[in-house]
Amino acid sequence: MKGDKIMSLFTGAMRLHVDGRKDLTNHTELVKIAAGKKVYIPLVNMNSVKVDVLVNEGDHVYVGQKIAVRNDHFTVPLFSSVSGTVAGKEKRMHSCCKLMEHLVIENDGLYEKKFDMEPLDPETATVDELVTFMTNMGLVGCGGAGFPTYVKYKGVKGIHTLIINGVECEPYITADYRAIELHTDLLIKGTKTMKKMCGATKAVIAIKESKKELIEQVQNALKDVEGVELCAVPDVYPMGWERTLVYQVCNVRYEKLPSEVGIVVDNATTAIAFAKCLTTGEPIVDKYVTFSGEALNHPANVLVPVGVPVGDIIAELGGFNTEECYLIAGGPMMGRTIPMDKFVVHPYMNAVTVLKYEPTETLGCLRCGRCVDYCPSGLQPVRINTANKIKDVDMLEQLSVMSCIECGMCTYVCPSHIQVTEGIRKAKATFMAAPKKKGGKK
Amino acid sequence: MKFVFNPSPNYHSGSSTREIMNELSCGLLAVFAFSVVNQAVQHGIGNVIHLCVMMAAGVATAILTELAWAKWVLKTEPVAYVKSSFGWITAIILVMMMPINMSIYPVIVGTIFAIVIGKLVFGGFGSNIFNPAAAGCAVIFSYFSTSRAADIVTSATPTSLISGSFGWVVSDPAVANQFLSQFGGLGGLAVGFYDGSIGETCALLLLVVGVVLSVVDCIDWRIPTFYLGAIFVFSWIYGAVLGMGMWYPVFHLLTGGAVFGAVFMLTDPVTNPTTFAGKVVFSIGAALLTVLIRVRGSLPEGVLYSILLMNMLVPWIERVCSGIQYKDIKKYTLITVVTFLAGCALMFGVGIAKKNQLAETAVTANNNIAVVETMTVTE
Repeated sequence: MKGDKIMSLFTGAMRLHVDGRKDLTNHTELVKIAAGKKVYIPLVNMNSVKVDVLVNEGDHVYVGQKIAVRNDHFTVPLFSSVSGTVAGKEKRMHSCCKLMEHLVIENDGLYEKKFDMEPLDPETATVDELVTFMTNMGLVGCGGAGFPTYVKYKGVKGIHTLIINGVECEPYITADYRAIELHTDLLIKGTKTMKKMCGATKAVIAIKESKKELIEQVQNALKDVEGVELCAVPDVYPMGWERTLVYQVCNVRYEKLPSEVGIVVDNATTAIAFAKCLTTGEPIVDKYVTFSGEALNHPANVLVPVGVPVGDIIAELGGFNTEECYLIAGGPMMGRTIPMDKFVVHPYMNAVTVLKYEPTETLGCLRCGRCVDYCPSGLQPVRINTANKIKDVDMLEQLSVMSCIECGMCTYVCPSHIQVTEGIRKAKATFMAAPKKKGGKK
Repeated sequence: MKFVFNPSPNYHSGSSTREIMNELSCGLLAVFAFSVVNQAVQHGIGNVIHLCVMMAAGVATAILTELAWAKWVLKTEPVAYVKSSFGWITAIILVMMMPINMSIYPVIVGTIFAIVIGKLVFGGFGSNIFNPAAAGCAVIFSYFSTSRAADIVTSATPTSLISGSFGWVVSDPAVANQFLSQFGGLGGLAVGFYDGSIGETCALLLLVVGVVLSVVDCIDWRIPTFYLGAIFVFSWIYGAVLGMGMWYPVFHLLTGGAVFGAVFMLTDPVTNPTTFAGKVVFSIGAALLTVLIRVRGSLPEGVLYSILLMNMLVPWIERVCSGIQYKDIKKYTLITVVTFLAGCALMFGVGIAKKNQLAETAVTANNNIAVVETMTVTE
């Protein structure tokens, strides 16, 4: 429980070293998984299902061909990861634990490529051209959020620092580590381009100080690069969260978005994917995904085309070693448990964690305040839960319930094994459902 | 293959409430062990047996009360309930607050009150608003203050002496020295071989236990630090106004269960605020009440009631400290500084008032003497 304890009088540590169990997959061999007879492209981006399908049943598609586009306040094209024939739509379980439309493509096994976009030289291209290119490439935040990247660069002003987030603070996940290790050159190319796009004077690549070999490798590669530096950050959770990282690197806090204080944050794999787009014109059609956890026979990082069901990948890796397990889309802190293994790899998925099922005993809350101590948002989870029990909406507002990011820290540290984070989700629902006061603060 | 659903996160630090409670029990047992040695060295085996009987009675009462509550009131599995209710800690703390010559039945009655009224009626472990042990002690001291076990040898305690004989003011250095020397000076008070409440005498051991418990994250270091620090400053101001030296604030720290209360009672997480800012204000407030009750109250001791009074203010402190913690640091600093300075000013004022009162008494006494002398002369 100790570890990173900042001795501050009125605030807690707001972060904590978490056993990362990264050794399970850090040095295992990368496994390449081929697509099966069918792939399923989820017609969804973040929580939006307003997606226009651009192809019809029976159409022939190529690898990298635009097949659909998210069309609301954001524009995010979706691409085919194999070549073959469109076989219609299907409702399947998605990694957000809901049933979603998926476009089914029958794989012809030929992997013929045909890209919509030509490669672009970032040295000569203008910022506008680069932003348009980024939009058309459907580049999304690969850290797990899937937020369209171009939005951060479109018309930004007054940016002084670009932070490339290679922290990967979720336990078990090593996909970013592996991608940076294999594509250091692409990381630097992507970083330089993004720095140009946001007009920053400085770019910082943040990597956990515990990843010594990787730091050395990146540092060597950065020797002749100007304006890009490496920042080793403490091995604590949630170091990879935008606010915690910005505070660590630049020592500032902000209200809503880091651009308020002149900072843009992007994930390292996003930078790598972007550099790959620029070099070859190929959008995200395959992903490095960590399959890890104690309940897997052979945990490994895999390189897999988008749209392949997770169950098939686990079977290919050697299956489960228990009868009951938690199958988690993402890492164990923020990832959701999914009650079936039919969901597929999507462009912003980076991990699947499979943990052994262990029933726990819950005791009464002793109000020890550890959830307050370690909450990265500086909230009081224990009191939010109490306020929600009596449905005190005013108190929930005072306690800033909506500032919770559901990082899972409060449940993680709770000595009584109470599901504090889930309690806050319920409190948020209470707060959202309550009628807003007239003229009240929002 | 079965995929179990569970809301995230699905990962845990491995910390456990049982572990915290066991650590606390170990700390209390270390203090209890010293009390046994203290009684054996000072008064012999009779007192040791009585002490052990008190402790056994307290713990047994706590456990039986909770078993009965679970079986007949809650109608749940009694053993599991008792295991996760940690009533024995309340009982141990309560016994530690007793004088050694307290008879057994008040301990039993006080423990039942502490467990049932102090904790169970509020909803059990984690839901009580008062420190249950403190509530039980308050009942014992209110209703059984004269109940004493026969054949138990005891001598006057430092707090009863200084409050009874001196009203917490010993301005004359020679008298102060003589007063302290009967306990072996301040050093002797810290080591703890004298009579007082069972668990309160060895301040040094209590401090060591406090440090260990803070290091293992069982209690928060801020509470004992600010409580004892503020007691030191407040009593120093009061003592300085009345012309007492540095021994005075140290005496305040070493006696009357200040360190025991700081380590084991104020830190009770259930009944103190959850935010750090709240904990700091809570501790300073308790320190102020402790010193005030000691020097101006009619009670000999202030730790117990200061804890109960501050427990009542916890909901208010919590309300003031609501919101995103790092955004309000300025506000918290201001509240802390204002509370502290107000306390200092109050102690200064109380000191001046006491000084005037003493001067008046002295003048009256002198006048009386003068009158007597005149009368003698006239005769």
